[in-house]
Amino acid sequence: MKSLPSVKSALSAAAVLLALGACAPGSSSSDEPAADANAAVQTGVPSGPVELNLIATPESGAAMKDIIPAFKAKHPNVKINYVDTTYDDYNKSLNLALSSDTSPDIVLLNAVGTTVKDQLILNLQPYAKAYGWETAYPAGQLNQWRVAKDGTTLGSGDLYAAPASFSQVGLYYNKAKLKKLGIAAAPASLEDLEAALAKAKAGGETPLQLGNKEGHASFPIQLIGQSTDGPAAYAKWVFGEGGATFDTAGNAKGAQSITDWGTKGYYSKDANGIDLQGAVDKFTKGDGVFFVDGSWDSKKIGDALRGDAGFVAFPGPKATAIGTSVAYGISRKSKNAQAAAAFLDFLRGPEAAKASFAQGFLPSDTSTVTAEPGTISADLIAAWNKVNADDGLIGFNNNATATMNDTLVAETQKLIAGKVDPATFIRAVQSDWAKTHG
Amino acid sequence: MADSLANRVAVRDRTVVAPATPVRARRSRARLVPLLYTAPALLFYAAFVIAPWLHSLWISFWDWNGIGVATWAGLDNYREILADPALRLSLVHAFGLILFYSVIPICFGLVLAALVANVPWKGMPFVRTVIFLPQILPLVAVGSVWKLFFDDDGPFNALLRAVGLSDLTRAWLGDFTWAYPAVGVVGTWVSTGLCFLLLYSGIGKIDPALYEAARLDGAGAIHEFWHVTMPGLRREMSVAATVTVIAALASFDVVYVMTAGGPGESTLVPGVAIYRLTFTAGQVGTACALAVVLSLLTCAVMFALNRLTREKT
Amino acid sequence: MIRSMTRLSLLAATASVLVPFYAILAASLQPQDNLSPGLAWPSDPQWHNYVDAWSTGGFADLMRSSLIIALGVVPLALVLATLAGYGLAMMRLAVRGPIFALLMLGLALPYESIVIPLYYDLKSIGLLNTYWAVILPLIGAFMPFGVFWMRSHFESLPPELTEAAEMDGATSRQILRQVLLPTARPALTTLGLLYFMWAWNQFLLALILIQDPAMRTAPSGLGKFIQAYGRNIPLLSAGTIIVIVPVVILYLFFQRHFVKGILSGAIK
Repeated sequence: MKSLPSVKSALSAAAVLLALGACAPGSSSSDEPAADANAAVQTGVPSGPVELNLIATPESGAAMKDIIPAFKAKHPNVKINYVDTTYDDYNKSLNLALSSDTSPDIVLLNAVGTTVKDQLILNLQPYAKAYGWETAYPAGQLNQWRVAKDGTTLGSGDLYAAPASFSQVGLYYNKAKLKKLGIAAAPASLEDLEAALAKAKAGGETPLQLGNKEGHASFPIQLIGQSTDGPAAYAKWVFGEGGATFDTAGNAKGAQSITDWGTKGYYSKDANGIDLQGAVDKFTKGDGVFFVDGSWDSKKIGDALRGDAGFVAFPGPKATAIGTSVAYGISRKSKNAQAAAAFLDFLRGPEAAKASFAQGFLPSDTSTVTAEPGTISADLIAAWNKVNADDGLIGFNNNATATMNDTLVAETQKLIAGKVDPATFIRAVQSDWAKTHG
Repeated sequence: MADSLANRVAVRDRTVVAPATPVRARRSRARLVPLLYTAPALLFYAAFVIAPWLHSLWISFWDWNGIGVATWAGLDNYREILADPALRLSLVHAFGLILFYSVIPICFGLVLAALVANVPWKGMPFVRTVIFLPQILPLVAVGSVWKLFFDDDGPFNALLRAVGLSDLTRAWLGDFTWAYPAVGVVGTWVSTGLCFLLLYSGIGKIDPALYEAARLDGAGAIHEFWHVTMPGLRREMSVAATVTVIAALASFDVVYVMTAGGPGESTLVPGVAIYRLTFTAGQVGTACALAVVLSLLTCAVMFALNRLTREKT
Repeated sequence: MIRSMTRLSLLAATASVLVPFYAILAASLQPQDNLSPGLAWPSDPQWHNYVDAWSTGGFADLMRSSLIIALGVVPLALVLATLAGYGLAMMRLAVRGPIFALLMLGLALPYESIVIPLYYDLKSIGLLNTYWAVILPLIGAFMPFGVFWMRSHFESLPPELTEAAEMDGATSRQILRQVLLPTARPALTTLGLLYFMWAWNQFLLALILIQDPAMRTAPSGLGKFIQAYGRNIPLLSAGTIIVIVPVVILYLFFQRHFVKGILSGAIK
């Protein structure tokens, strides 16, 4: 009988667990009003010891191991703890981490997602004004992180994240192979590219390296789409503006091209079984004349192919790129928002720019970094400047909704396996978009 | 063994101290005592299995992204499962896996067990050790092994090339036709040893007189198999079916690691769909509804299997 | 003829289990830049791949976490299952049937159906991201098997065993401790080993209920390792083998317990 009290307490614990189910899930979430965009904030680092926790993914956070010590050298009272988790895990756990009582202070944002709608991250508009970010960055570079009052429409409204550096997706090519095929220069138009692909096929090469296990065929589709439709019009869909549609001439052309290239054998019939890293490995081993990929792999490709590695903005009437900033936001639960904002401001400085560029990410202002001519780094800067001159940087289609990445993975796989035609592909993508923005 | 137990207990009997409680009071209390012994286990079970399941059922009636405020959805989440082709497909795939996790392994196991039962072999202990091995491995590691095995540059394609079948090589897990069987074959690999050993031990328990009687009637090996071995193994087969069917319907680890549901939705199973709905789509209500549907279907199948085998015996 | 056919089919079955292992072992010893390991044994085995995988994958932490979780689960789960198994074996009450049915249900419920609420419930009581977040639910989830296992052990004993003690006026506690437990050692060893293996191998619960990758079980860590080093096949193979080896060693030592436990556990 002695065990009875403990049985009772266990019973009540079970009752608590049962009772938890008896109220509306999540109804206890905060109802505080959104922080005022005009709130007075202070710049600079407060005195006294401050500890900041920062979370990121290994790829995007790679530069942090150099940036954090540089910040610490200037502000010895600020200690920044850096933790990274793999991309999948990170996206899975970010919102939950932000809503927990042990929320990190500074978080990498791969996409706005529901972080603004669910009031998880801080409105940075006051800091943007105080630090003058709005004049320091070209408008297009901040727009991806502006969120309208509804919490889901992007591109206008208050700023919620500060970009540290940028990635751009463009066209890698193997210079040695171009030369062997007798192609004088990297293609400047889609027609040039198609002619080069045909020539490469005739020359016994793999014209295009493509790995679509994780849906990266969506890159060429988007690039053809946005250079055909024009970046300004195309961006509306990515930002989720009401009335936008994926059913455009550009996307139709993109989807059709990918299908045709497959029929012509321009890329491996096994593309659906090859992941992005696998494709990078194959490309660096000489399997593929062209390869559509992001600047984040430039270091690996440059190291392997050396002088043979080339990179250009995707060919089209205007120089466009898919790209996003490696951007950081501040948790609404952070008790050290001022210090965190000072760190975000540090991210656009020259030390941070150099550290990021070394990892393949471009700074907002390219004058802070240099590259030897003829290297892939020089190509990256040239392409970046060209894209910015044409205002051609557009966010990833994959970030248009929370589920868009999964949808694009599944649908591009069906498309290149010939399971669906381009029209069906476009309908499926649009129907996902309409669920969130429709 | 029972003898030695009895001896041991007989010795211990004397050390048992007799308490001075009146017999009557002890009787009535004794009726409730077993309940007390059972209570702690039941509490843990209720708190960490039953309560979460009921909570899951409750959440399934809400439209909730896991963070924000929930709104009542009634049966909308269940309607969505029926309406969404991908989610419907995931349930179909789960049932399809029964072929690979249960039907094929039981057939293999039956044939092997019937063969081995007649021919004793001293290599048997080694075979048993190896063939049972997949049962104890973490399924993630199993998935990892097979993912590498079926890679486009992996050993399986190397094997095909070595025997002159290079035309057949492909990225198996990226192929709409082959990814599903490739994932399924892992289930066969895992379950076959279990089914074989279950059935093998079952054959050992069949009364030899039945075989003798059959032989006296002039029955051949095949006849013997159908009329003595098969009926004698009904219980073991039902057990093997129950265990493997549950594994098939609940499969997550292997698929998550090998294909994560792709290409397209060709290997999507409920486990992976629930994971995605919760953590990428933020549709926790729908995820819970799918979880509820999956567990109800699993229980229904178990119940049906139970009935089926009971009626026939 | 039949004899050789039998042996041949047995050998084929055995080989089909072993071939993938051989393939992955061979792959784990290839140089790390080898992207297409075939089936050939490497000419120059790279044993340091294991050292690399061990450190880059953080397997020291993962093994420790797996061990903590397994050791947290086993003792308590054994005690609870033994008590409940004994209780059910003795029970003559009408609730016996419903209790039975409720426990049976637990054998069929997939982890998927409870893991999401567990996430939110454990979060609200502050246990998320602790080892308890996996230990406690596992104990609960392990109850059906354990209770049935212990019950059938106790019921398999001859009734005279306890009757004698009852005559002497022993309480149920004394009977359990002094009469029944000594007989239960093999059953408990088997159950303990199975619990240990299942806890060590747990993937889904650890993946979702523990955010800190270093605190997860070895298989969950392997899941992350696969994501992060998907293309480094030799390293990935080495990591996979690292995760497999402890359970395989345990299995080889206690083979009879494992085989008997899973086979007869399934039947009971």
